[in-house]
Amino acid sequence: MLQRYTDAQASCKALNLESELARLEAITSTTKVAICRNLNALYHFVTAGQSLQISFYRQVSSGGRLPENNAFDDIRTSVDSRLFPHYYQDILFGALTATDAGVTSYGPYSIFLNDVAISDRTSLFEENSLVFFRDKHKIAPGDKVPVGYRATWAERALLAAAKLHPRLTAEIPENELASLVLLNAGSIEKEDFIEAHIHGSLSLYSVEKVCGPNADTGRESVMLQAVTEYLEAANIPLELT
Amino acid sequence: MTKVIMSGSARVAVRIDADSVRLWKYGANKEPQTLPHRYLRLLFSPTDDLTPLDTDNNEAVTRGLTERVDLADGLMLYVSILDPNLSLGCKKGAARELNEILLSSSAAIRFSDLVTSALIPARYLADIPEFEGVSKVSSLIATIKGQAPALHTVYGALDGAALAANAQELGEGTKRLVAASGIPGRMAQKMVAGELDKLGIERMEAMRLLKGTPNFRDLVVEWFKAVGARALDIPSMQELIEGERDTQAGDSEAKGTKGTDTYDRRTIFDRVGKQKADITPLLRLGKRERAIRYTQQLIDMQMKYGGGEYAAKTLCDLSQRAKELGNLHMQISLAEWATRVAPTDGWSYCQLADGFIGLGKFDDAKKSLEHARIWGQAAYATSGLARILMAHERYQAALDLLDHERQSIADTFVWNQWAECHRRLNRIDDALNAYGEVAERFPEDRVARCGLASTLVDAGRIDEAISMYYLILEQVGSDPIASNGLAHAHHLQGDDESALTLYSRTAREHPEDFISISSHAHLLRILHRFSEATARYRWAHAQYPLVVTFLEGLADVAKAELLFDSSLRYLEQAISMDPRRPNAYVSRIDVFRRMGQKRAALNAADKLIAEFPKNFTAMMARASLFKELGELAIAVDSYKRVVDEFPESTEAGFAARALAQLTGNKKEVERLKGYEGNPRSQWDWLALHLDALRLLRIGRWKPGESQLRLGSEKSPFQHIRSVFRRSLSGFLVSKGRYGEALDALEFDTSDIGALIRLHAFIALDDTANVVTSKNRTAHVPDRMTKLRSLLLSGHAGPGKRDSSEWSEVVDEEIRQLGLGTF
Repeated sequence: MLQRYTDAQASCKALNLESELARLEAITSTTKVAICRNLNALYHFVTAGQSLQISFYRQVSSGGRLPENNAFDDIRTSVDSRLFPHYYQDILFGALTATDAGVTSYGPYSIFLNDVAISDRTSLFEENSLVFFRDKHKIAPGDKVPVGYRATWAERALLAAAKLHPRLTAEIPENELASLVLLNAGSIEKEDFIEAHIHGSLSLYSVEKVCGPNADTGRESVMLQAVTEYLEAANIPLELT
Repeated sequence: MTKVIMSGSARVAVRIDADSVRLWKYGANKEPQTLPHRYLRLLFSPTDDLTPLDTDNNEAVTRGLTERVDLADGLMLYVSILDPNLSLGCKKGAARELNEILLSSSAAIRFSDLVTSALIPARYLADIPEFEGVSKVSSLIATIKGQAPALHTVYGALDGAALAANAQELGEGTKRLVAASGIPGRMAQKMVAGELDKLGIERMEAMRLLKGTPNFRDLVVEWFKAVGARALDIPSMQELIEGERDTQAGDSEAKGTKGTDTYDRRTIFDRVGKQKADITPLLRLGKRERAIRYTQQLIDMQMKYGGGEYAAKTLCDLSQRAKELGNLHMQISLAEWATRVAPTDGWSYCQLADGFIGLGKFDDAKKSLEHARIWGQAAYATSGLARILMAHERYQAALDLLDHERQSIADTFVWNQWAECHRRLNRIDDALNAYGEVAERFPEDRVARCGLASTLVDAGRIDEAISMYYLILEQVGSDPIASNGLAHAHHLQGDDESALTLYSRTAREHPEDFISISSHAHLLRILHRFSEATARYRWAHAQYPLVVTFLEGLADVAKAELLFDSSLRYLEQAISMDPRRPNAYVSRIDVFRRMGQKRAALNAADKLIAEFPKNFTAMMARASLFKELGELAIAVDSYKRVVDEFPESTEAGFAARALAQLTGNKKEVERLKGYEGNPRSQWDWLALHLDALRLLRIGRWKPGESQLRLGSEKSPFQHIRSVFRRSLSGFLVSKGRYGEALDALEFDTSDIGALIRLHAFIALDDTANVVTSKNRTAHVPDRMTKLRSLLLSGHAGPGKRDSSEWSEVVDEEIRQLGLGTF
């Protein structure tokens, strides 16, 4: 990964984009991890006392959910087992974000995690690992996972620089830099983000804040009201838009 | 007594009872269909004396057949389903003769063995109890070998592996037939020819195909091609087809009963053809919704009259058309549709896999290939897996797979791909041997011979390749693969007019052959006939708006005309149409470089690497740009990484070595050894050229000049000879040998050549020619204008010139040739 970062530095130096690269690194070094859920899942997580956010595999094996019938869940196990041999069942997925939203196609409510709760057990990956394996690198079973695309929590800014430097332009505004880190494009295939891999489960104590849309009427407003109360009780801010 | 009989098409299992015939469509998992005897048609014919029968005679034959089955216990016949109103049959005399044969041969051959062990793959028979306890193919072989003379031809879709394994025990003629069995489709066809009748079953089977399928012509031609009609001395299939057409035309009252309604066969056939023709332009123009609506109407009609099997064939046909027209998404949609209409049709899954591979959806492709294998298309499945491996640049793995599978699959797909793998691995001798082996094994297969010719071109044996292409065209008539290959070979020899004529003719004869269209336009561009090239590409783009290649071509012409903004616009369009195709990204880098915007080019290279991390050209461009920007250490490091990533790339290694030399890294120079050996391929010659440049850079003038002379005189590739000549003339000018330099540039029309001439004429004080050359170089690309102005202002006159500039220009010219950047 450091090699890629060095390449990024060389390119940016040649293109006179060193200051932009530095700004990108600065922004990324303050990014948070967000996990996105729909209101129903958020409600159950927040209101069910000692409920934990557990990995997809734990949910399936516990009988708590079914895999979805889509192109991703179809190859999910093979990809995850390559990235996390023998412990892929313990990995939760999130995304690095510099704004008030995570990858909202997974759900409109972004659950932001406390750095202190995850920094020692989180690594970052270039992009959606399924897209990385299937489309960009075409990694077949038995192939080695290419090196240079993962980073520790502390080095997440270097990974962002290595990945995003070709998209930098002179005097790029701050908000555009933030949208480079995470691009919400409306569908899972088109979105672009730096994937966060969190080992273990998450409780409400790991949550820093929750952001999402308001709901004024109907069943959703009732659920959201309950979520609001529970979060208030836990002293977790809820930012509604 | 009941017996099990297999239909000639290997698609239906038949059981003859005393009063009826029962049919199982394997894979359909349904109750058998019961038919009266008259629906049977005799395929085991003692003579080729075929005349239409009336119903009485037909029934008489059938009755005789069933009686004979009863009499000769265990004796089975080979039959197919008969459409009574359209059938051919045997005369009464033939039927009598048949009965005698059956009696005499009953001890010689047990057709039940043939039927149950070979014609139907065991896995299809699991739910048909009558097929339990089948015997093996080996016993069939033994039986055939001991057959009575009366048995003249046996045809069936035998198990390829087993028969091939036993082929050693058979005679030469049989071996040839076994070898010729590579018919597309899992239904591997094996024939054992006897002495009495050269036509036999195959002719009748062809007739059945003629009757039974809408695309009968293609099927029959394909079938006979695969079994080697010429080798078997079977009369022209064209005659059979035409004869059968006449029969059909005269039989206007013919009615069909397949499907859910009766129909006028000819009318339906014509209507299907017309509707397909209506759908084709919609596929070409990408009008998806209308195409689907029209297709739905067509399929509804076919389901009503012909059933799912024909509907699937139509959908596969349309799917293939969509592919040919560059509409890959519709190719997939139609093929998926075909798999729904006929879930047991292996070919539909092949089409689907082909589409997925085209779009880079390899997981989906693999699933489709698994289905294709299950439903009888093992050869295609193997070939498809190899294509996936090759798309991942895992050529050795693909080669291993094909090498293993080809032993058991006598199929041209597999064998040709096996040979091609050698070529992709740049093992030219192995590829030549492999293609030679395939061409010998499948003498009728033109793809193998074209592959052999193309490999000869790679090996620098262009004359031989041209002879071979002409031979192929003489034998098969018009063929786009051979014609395009021949045109390319002519071009490499420097005979561009012949190449243009050939491309043009091929495009006219095969209007949807994109290769001939784009190659024609490409060559026009190389020859600086820009307006013609643009017109050609524009026409093609209007005709086939979904084909990205033509947009990329337009961008190339605009770039050559120095219309960089237009070029970039075309490239942006191309990228938005197909973001997973790297070509336009690569061209974009080049446009920026020509505009003199090295930083923008570097950024474009970085973007390309971000999308395609293993893209060779992008990595090379990045290294080269750093070199041009004066960041030599980074450039060298970048080259080294290219070398590590692509260890078989000669020019990457040489570029790194040249740069290491420049940076004084002697250890690195030692590590990256120079070119050794006799150059043959284009890459070999380029490596030699690079090595010559390296020698000149380090002051070893004599060997460097000697290598340049060798290439400019001996390389079989005209464009590479030009590269050598330009470098040689540049070197000679730098040494003050102007006359020799001008000689070396004879016939050269390039911008660099013109600049070198300008240089020489200035030095020779040849005012008239200086003026001419000045005019000629007035519009050289941006990066050369600096050198031109230096030359004209006298600041870089003879004896003052920095040789590295020349080298840089020469490097640029090589890059323009599309042979790598360094």
